[in-house]
Amino acid sequence: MSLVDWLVLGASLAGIVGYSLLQSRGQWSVHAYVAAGKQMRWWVIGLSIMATQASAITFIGTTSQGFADGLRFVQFYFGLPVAMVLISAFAAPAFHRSGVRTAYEYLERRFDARTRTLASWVFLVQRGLGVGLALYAPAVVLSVILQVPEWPTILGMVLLVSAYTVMGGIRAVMWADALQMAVMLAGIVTAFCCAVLGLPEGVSFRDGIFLAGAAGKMNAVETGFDWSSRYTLWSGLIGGTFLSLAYFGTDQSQVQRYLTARSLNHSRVSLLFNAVVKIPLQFFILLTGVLVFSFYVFEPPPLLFHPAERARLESTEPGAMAQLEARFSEALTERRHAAGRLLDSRGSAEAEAFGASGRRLEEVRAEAVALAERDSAPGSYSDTNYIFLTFVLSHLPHGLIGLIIAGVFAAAMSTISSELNSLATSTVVDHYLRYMRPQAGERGTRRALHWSTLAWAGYAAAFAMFAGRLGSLIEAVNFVGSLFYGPMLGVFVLAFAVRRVSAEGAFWGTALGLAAVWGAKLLAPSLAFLWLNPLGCIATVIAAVAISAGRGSAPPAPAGGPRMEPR
Amino acid sequence: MQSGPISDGQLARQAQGPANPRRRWGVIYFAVLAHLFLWVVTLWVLSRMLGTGS
Repeated sequence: MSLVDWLVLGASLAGIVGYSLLQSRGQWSVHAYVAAGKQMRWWVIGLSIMATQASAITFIGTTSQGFADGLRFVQFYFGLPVAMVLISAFAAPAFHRSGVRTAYEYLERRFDARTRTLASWVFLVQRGLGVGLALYAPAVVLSVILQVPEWPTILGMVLLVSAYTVMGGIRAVMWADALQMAVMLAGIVTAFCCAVLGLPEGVSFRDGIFLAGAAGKMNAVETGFDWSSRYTLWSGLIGGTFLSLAYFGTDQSQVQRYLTARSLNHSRVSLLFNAVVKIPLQFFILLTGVLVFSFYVFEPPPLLFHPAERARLESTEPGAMAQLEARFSEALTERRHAAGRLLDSRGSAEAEAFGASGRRLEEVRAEAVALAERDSAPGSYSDTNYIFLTFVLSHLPHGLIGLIIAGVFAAAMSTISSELNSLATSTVVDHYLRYMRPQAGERGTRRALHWSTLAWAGYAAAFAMFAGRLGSLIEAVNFVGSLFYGPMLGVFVLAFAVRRVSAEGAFWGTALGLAAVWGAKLLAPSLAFLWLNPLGCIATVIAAVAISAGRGSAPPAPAGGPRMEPR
Repeated sequence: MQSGPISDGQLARQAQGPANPRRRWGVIYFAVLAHLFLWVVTLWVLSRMLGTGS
């Protein structure tokens, strides 16, 4: 990175933080801090929803995934529009009518305090682990790429995010999200254009796509059914719908966004905006990765994209690395020639030769990755995450590099700030005000929100600082986080749609739903995680209905009824 | 058949006609799902046309 890049990066981040704080000035009430005074417009909410979902690892990982695996990952988002329509039709009106500040508050109105507290704890554990990882994962990649230690990257991001999250509350967070999304989009468009312009003379955009297709990178839709495959049309449509329903419909980090809308219509449009834009956007990001693949058909890529690991292996395993480098170089030359012949003739024999040369190249790379993984904690090494940023740093002009690195920081910060804000809101509204200080006034509540945000930021920083020492625990953290969504969706389905379920049925149904998901994952580890969401949801609903029917308890008061006063 | 005088509520509903909010949102939801369908079909066709490799 040159001085120009650092200046672009610094100016982008300072501009985002400054503008978002400016937008939130004078917002001192608790209502403004957690709900932006219910004054937000649909496009700010829509961009904020999108930015919260898109973490830094989504930004650099999705482009890299396009390079390594092609367009298949787009199927993961096929369920999102269906989920957004359902949330817009059922969940958003229910949340708005009830006037709640957290999604879990709604559960107390419908069922009881026990169910609300259980759901809120599940959120705090799940999102608490998530915010630590959302900070740690990009810090590792950025520190390697920028050649700085991890701790300044972690501390820098936490301090910057805390500044506007603590001071400005959700209004500052959402305005920052909107700007961060704009920076991310600018970064992706820049990278796309550079990948296309970087193709050698005589190789057009269409040729690049043709070569990617011949290498199997353009297989966007796979109609075959396989329980263990993550990305098929069916797992995307069914599993993806349940996952999106759970994430956008029950997770406070997303629900809080559309609770800030000035009207129900603004909420709905913000959700539908995401429904319409998300698939084209992900397609575009993946296509950028695919074009980076075509770019590297003609421009020699490194054997390993992780620069520090490459340097380490070159010094510790010079013989093995020299041999691998020689074979890699030979395979690259062979693939480049095969690509040239294929573009000239477009015949099936040439396409087969190009595909075979690509497979030989990947075999050599896999050996190098295995060598790097041998000395790393299981599951902690990923060469794929470094593909996109290696391309950016090696082949983009100065200034644009700074813009794209700003996009990565923006992606990380938008996720972290929204998660900190929602964690603090749930901590204070669902626990502090509910159990510890029900009579806390405006000033006390505001102070509690400040301290809670700071505490969660401190926790996230501590988690990220020590995450490197956790080794394979990181995998476990990721795994645990993905097990909660199904039952959480189940309890909200019960709240919104099933009238004859008692509070006891809802509570124990959720607990049994959690047990069912954990049991399924232990008994059938090969089951793709997207299927755990429908399983957990259906198990929760069936268990709750059965318990309610078995105990013969009276159905609770309808949502919005006189069960409790809104807090 | 309407026999008595029309109430204010009925009048308002009649005045809204086909543009009532429920119907309008129904049309919007249908358009969003149609958009999803078009993307899935387009990407499937793209896969058939270009995804011929290994």
